[in-house]
Amino acid sequence: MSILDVFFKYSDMFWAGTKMTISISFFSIIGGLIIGIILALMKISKVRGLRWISNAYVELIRGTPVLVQIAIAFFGLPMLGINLPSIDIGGVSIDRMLSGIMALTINTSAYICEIVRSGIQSVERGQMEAARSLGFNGHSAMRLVVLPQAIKNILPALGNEFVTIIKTSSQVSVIGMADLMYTANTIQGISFQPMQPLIIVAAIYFMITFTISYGVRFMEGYMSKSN
Amino acid sequence: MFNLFNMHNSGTTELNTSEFNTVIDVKNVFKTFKKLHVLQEVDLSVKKGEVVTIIGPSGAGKSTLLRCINQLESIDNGDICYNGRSIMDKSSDIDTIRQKIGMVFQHFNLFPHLTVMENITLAPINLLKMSKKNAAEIGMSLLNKVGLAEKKDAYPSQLSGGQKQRIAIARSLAMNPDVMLFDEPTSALDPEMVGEVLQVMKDLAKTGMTMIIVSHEMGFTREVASNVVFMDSGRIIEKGSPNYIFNSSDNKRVRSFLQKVI
Repeated sequence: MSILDVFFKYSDMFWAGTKMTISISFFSIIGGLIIGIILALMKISKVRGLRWISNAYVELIRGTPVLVQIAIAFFGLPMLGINLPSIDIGGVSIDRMLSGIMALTINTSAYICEIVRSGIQSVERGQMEAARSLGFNGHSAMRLVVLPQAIKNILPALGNEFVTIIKTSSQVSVIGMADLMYTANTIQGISFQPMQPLIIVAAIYFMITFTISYGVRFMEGYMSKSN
Repeated sequence: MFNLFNMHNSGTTELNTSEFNTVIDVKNVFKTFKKLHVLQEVDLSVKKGEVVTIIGPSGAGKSTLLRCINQLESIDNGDICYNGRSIMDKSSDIDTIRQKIGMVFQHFNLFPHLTVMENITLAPINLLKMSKKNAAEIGMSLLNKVGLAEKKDAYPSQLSGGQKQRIAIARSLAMNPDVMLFDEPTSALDPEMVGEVLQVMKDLAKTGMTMIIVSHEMGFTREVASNVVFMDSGRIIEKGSPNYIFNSSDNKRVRSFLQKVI
């Protein structure tokens, strides 16, 4: 069987896997951005307790393997009596998906936190002072003046992190989520073709990450109109 | 001469009116960085419509004093009043007070991600809840005043230093402040740009704006200032009219400073 035969024969499965990979990555990136920005703001806060929590979180998450984190979210939490709600969307139960997304969100938020913090600190202090001297409170000054500039500065690093999270998402296949990697394994089993399914999913992963990189580069170009 | 700024020893009726006219009142302010005394026993009151220039050697605490007035720096001791109310007071909302105290920085600090017009209208739209159209009208009239109407859609990176500083002045004026603080507004400019910024400041002074200026521009000070304050090592050493400071004061440090800079 040629690689094209494999692709067309199992195209429905590849498509389903692609959708799964894209959705877990998408939700993890959104969640990671929200939590990451909050953590970054905690990290530069004047309140020592908040700084401490954020520092501890980032160190802990960055210092442990993502595979372990996924396993803890899926196998560990129910043992502690924490059950993620089992919600059906379109007849598909998404409790597996929830633990996968949760693990990836927690993982990526630690990295995004560091990226955002460096971005905020890369904005000159005078910007905050100018905004405050006009009468903006700290929050508005951050939102209207500092963060937009910070995001522009960190766009390349953020794009990198998005690509990383898409690749990392392949690890959720270990908890039985039918993502691209899981699909490759399944098709290997039923088609007795060890190599082709892997090549195909590698190509799909590459197309997704390349699109992201390209999109981020486009955004960079758009945002650099003020340079 | 020392009474020029100190109205508290006049009669009762006068005291009331003068208190009313005093926009900024700095009373016995002390500030230290680590062990360094950056401000000591500083008293300065500025009345409505006055143009006060603070001069002195670098490290004298001029900029620090200016930054304390709108609380970009905190003070250790003493009091600072705006329109008769202490800004140190817990009940005073510093954000609201800052809306009325404009500030122009040495390095302009324009918002680089916004166009010139957006720089000017950001605060009126978000803080005064002005409509975009209204704010743009005010922005346009300010741009005309500083002579940069054609730059309204430019980004700060496309402007020269002098143009940036004129936009920074317009941005502050858009909040319709009672008093404007200038922190060495021409120090970061190429020499040929200094004139255009000083001209805008002169025009502003003519409109009766209350201004406190930290400056090394002695010609400008002589011409525009109603009062000059000389600072050295965190203290106000001498104050008085430009004529007094430049011609009559026999204070040694004032004399030696002026000899060096003029």
